[in-house]
This record gives sequence, structure tokens and C-alpha cells, in this order.
Amino acid sequence: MAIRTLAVNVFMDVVRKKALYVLVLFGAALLLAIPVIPSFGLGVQLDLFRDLALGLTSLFGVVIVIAVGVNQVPGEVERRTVYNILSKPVGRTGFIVGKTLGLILTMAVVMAAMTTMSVIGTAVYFGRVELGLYAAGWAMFMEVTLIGAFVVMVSTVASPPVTTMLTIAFYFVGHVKTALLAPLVREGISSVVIAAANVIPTLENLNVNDLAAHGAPVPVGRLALLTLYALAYAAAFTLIAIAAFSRKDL
Amino acid sequence: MDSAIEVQGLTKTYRTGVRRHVRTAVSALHLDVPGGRIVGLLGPNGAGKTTTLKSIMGFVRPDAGTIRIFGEDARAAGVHRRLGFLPEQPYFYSYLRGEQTLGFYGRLCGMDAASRKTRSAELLDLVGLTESAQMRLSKYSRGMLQRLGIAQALINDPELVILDEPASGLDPIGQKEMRNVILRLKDQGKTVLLSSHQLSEVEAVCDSVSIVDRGRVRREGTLDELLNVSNANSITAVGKADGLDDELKGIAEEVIRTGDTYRIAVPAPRTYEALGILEREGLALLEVVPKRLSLEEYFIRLVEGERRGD
Repeated sequence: MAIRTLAVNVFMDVVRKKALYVLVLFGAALLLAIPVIPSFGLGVQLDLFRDLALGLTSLFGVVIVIAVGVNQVPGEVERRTVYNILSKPVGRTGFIVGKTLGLILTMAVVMAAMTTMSVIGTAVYFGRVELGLYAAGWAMFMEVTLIGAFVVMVSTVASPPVTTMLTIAFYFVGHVKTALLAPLVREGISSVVIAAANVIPTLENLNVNDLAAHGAPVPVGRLALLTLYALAYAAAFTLIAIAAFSRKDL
Repeated sequence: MDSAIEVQGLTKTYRTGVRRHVRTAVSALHLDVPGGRIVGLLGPNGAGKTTTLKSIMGFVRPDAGTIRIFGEDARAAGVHRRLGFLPEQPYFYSYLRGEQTLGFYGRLCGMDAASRKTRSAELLDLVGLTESAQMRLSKYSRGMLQRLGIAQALINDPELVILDEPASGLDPIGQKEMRNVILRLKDQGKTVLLSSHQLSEVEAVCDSVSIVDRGRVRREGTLDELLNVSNANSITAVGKADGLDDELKGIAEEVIRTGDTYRIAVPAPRTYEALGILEREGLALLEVVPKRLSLEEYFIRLVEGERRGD
């Protein structure tokens, strides 16, 4: 019950701070995008709209998960509200898990809302209900879940500005890692280096936007694999966060 | 009587500043809090009281030493089910209302909805916040937040209550009410460890005190053990007697005059001699009691003596 209470508290705090109004911005951006799309054939226009919607969803998702997650732990410590919580039978593990799950719960609502707005957009402007967008939405939700766990992990030891910068770097490297390593792999780089590089997840493994943008179905097997991939990294980051927070003097 | 808290050899150092100087907050500190008692933890600023409380609560990791609560390792899961804590100047989520706040902490303690509702109402009444229960905490005064703090510390009806500066921010009436709450906890068989700078409050409620200075317990014991000055009496008399000081010179250790009231400290063997002088001077005797320092006097003498290296 304690973990659930903390998780719900994270979500309610986001609602209270009206951070979810950013979804209004997202909706507005989608609406403004319609007249911008060049007047090619209907199929091309639809592809462009899907691509744009998924791109905006991904961007907004990453921005929101960083903005919400970066202060979950440091904020409680700085405001000293952490003492009242940890004086109860919650434990530091319960605290970190509760905060992380709360962030994930928040992002689930955010990603579902943005994906739904995209589906409604395709229905209204193109007369087609593109339920396939939910597969991409799920993949992006898995990505922000992984990123959220990383944010919480880093925030247990770093200040919010440092956490933000490291997360942006993490996101960037996670997406270009394959391209960066490819020439090194061709030259026969040692497997130790490759193994070390896998400490940072390959976020491109979670990207199915190319398929969804062209209306192609995303295989269930691929969705399952990327889910396991994201959850494995998220769990690892959470365990590290628990270990780091357990050693922290408050 | 079994101990509620046993601290053995507690040591904690901090590294501070750019050069990471080592500062010893607590050094080989021993503390025993018997069950069912109210124990005061006193000390000047920087003595190590807060570090000691934080170590007991698990907020900081000691460098050495053991801490047991009701015989269990203080770090064991579930220990916190039996204790409540009021931090110094507690902070809460300002967007919650009073009753919601207690409900939140009740859920963290695993209480069901019915228990939370009943217990919250009881505690809000106990601390005088029933009428403010539906008000957002952003509108609460410092004193109201302090009262809410004691309420959240008691939400799970703990056996052990640890209070850090419980009277902070309270007006005199609030302080009296806080004392009554603490004494009621003792009547209920609970154990209280309180840290306070308000020595009058400590003297009014505590069964025993531990005085910490520079990271160690310097003195501990019941108030009678610490404050009664052995082999000395305090005589209180009233009247007009110029020259009484000269008469008592060589006999009395101390003569304090407030208007027409004299308080005279004399060694026990010379009490009758002093009484004879007072009778001769025509003063009316009010009381003769064993000399007892106030906790403030004892504390100041002890700390200043430590500073001088006595």
C-alpha cells in the first residue's frame, strides 16, 4: 500500500501542478501541423501526419519525463518532506520504487493521451482511425519508462540540472550508439568495449515509428521484445537507484 | 525495565567544505532509553543531538556502533511500524488539507480507510486542529504545522515516539498542550525520546535526561539525581533585614534577594545556624528544602565546565 500511495501521490502532484496542460500544447501543435503538410496525394499526406504526430509524441514524452522525474527525489530531500515519509514503515527501497512507478504511471497517462489525440487527428482529417498508432505509442511509452528510471537513478546522486544534462546526453547517445559503434565494429573492436557500450541501452531498439508512420503493422513479437528490453534496463536502473539512495545521508 | 532504544558506540563523521574536512558529529556515544519513560536529549547547538536522532531513525548511516529498537536492529524492516517521529520544524505537502495529510501518512503505515478516518479525527482533536482539518496546509501557521507534525507522528499509535524540538513554533498555551500530550503518551505506556532546547519543558515532563556535548553523552540520570545538590539546603524567607548579607557571610554559599524575599543556599551542617540568624533578624521562614538546581543552571554549569576543561 505504501508504494501505491507514493506512486499515486506523484501523479496527483503532476495534475495539481497543471503540468498536464502541456498536452494542450501538444494538441495545438498537431492542429497547427495540418495546414503545414504539403498537398501531395492523400496517402503521402497521411504518412507525413503520422510521422509528425509520432515525432511530437516522442519529443513531448521525453521532455515531460525529464521535467517530472528530475525533482522527484531531490525535491523531497530538499523540502525535508522525506523525513516524514521514511519515518513510516516504507523503507528507502519502497520510496524509490514508489517514485519510479509514479513517474511511469504519469507517463502512461501522458503517452496514452497524446497517442489518442493523434488517432483522433487522423480520423478527423483523413477519415481513417489509425489504431496502429497505439503500437508505436506503446513503444514510446516503454522508451520513456526506461528514461524515467534513468532520471530517478541519476537524481539520487546528482542535482536536477546535472541530471537533466546527463539524461539528454543519455538519450542522444542511446539513439546514435549503433551509428557511432558501426565503424569500430567493422575495424574489429574488442568485445569488452562493445559490452561496456551496452551499459547504455540502444534506444533505437525501441523505435518503431518508421513502421507506424507508413501504416505498417508492428509485429507483436517485436513489441514483446522491446518491452522486455526496456523493462530490463528500467529494473536495473531502479536497483542502482535503490542502492545509491540507501547509502545517502539525509 | 527493557530498553526501547539502545545505542552503543555510535560514531558519525561528516566531510564538509571544499577541502572535505572531517567533522566528528558523534563519537562513541552510548544512550539507553528505558521503555515506558520520557527521556530528554539535551545539548548545545552542534552537540550531536540531531545526528543521534537521525542515526536512530536511519536517516544517516553511522560509521560505527549499534542501534537497537525494542531489541531489534534499528535497520530491520518493520521496526518503523512501532515508532513515530516528529522532525524539527516539520514540512508537508502544502497542497494537501490537514485531514488528507494524516490520511496520506496513515496509508503509508498500511492503515485501512476506516482506521485512518477514526484515528485522524482523534488526533486532530487531540492537537486542536479539528476546525482546520479541511484547510490547505499552505494556510497553516507555523504552530499549526507543528501540531499537525505531532499528529502525524502518532497516526499509527506507535509504542515509541521520537520528538525533535516538539515545542518549536508553539505559543505558551500550545507548549502547555504539547506537554500534556507527552505526559498522556507516558500514561498510555509509551516511550518518548525528546530533544529540546526548552529546558523548562524538559524539566516539566522528562523522567531522565542525557546531556550531549561535542558528540558524547556527558551526564545522564533522573532529574533528582542530576539536580539535587548533595549536602546543601535552600532556605526561603521573607522580611526586611538590611545587613543580612554580612550576617550570613561565611555561612551561606549564595544569597539571592528578590524584593523582600530571600533565597539562601547553605551547607546542610550549617542550616540551623542560618535559621537562627534569620529568626534574630525577624524574617518569616517560608520553606527549607534540599538545594536543587534548575535544569538550566545545571546545563549551563556543565557545558561551560566542559568548555573550560573542568
